[in-house]
Amino acid sequence: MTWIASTAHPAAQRCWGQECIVYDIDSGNTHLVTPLAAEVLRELQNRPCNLETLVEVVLQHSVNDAEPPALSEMQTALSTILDDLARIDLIRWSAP
Amino acid sequence: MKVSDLSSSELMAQLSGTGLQLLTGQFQIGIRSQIPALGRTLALLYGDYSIGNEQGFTDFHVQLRYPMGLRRWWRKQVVFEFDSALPFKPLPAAQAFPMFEWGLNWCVSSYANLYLIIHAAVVEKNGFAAILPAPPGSGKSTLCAALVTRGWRLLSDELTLIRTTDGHVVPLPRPISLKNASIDIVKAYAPQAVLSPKVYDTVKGTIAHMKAPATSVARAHECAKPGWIIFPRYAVDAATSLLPISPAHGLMRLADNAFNYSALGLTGFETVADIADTCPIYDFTYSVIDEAIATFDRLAEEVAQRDIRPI
Repeated sequence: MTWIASTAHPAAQRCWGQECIVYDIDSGNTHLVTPLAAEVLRELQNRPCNLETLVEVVLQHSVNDAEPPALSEMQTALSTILDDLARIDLIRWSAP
Repeated sequence: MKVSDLSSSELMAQLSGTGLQLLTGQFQIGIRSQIPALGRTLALLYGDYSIGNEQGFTDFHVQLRYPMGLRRWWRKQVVFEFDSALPFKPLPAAQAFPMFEWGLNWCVSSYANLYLIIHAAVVEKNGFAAILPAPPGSGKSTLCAALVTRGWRLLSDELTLIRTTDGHVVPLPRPISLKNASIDIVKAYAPQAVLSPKVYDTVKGTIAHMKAPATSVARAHECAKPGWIIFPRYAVDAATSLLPISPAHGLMRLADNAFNYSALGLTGFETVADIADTCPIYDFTYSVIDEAIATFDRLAEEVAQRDIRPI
């Protein structure tokens, strides 16, 4: 399953520590999300991705990480984020 | 020329003729009315305001008048007319002045989209503005009234105007609306304050308006940089507390209190986000006014001691 950003314009973002605000320019809605969710959204605004691609992106960022997160842990967290972002209409499934 | 330079008969002649051009902050208001009680309260509370040029641009044309029709022969009413339209239902004639104030707030909050407009009181000291967003009944106006009787400058009691080009607060100092118990609390706290006669049985209960300090009116063109966002809440017997809120949560709450956040789109978001980025944000609970003032004074002192330049 491939996901893409569902908005015509990239959502505006501001982050402070462990909290980020995403402003959906198309709908005018404002959302409080985690920094990871904000990063996932940024990635999907650049290109369509499936869960596996997103996991790879996280792994690339964890190359020098002595204790990288477990694969299942990443998959669960990213799946939840994708569902949450879809629920608030920031992303959607892409037609194959 | 100021409103206080007019005799009461001259003021009524202007109001009932071509209209009084009242300058409040950035706005010129054209007011027409033949209601004597409205003229008396305007003279009492707006004496320090300048009268604008009749040939100049009038931002809002308003008229307070008795309604037409047979109904006018029973229990007199008043209507608020804006650009020849009646946006509100009539109110009892005794409520003419509160209706003028509420109507003017509505004009600004509905049409002044050059600014981000937050439902908040705002006061200034040492060049920085404390923005106090809060729902009705939270003690916002009581606190605002107390602060301006103790050296803080009134920028606005109800509508905080943020200029979207630079994020500065644009003053709109007008009378402070006090409700119910807060009227006597403010009278006791600041006996020198000038208050309008009480108006009973309004939708908000008993209302009285406190005159804005003359110094605040005189400085109505001096903008201020936002210094703090403080969400005030009066709670009986509560200890005074000032608790920090994260910028992200503060931004969400600030946006909730803005009249035109959605209408301004990305500009609204960027303006609110810039404020959240640069201002400390707090939840403030109080029950003792002197302690509340001391807390605000401490914040202003900290800024002064750090020698931060306001603009």
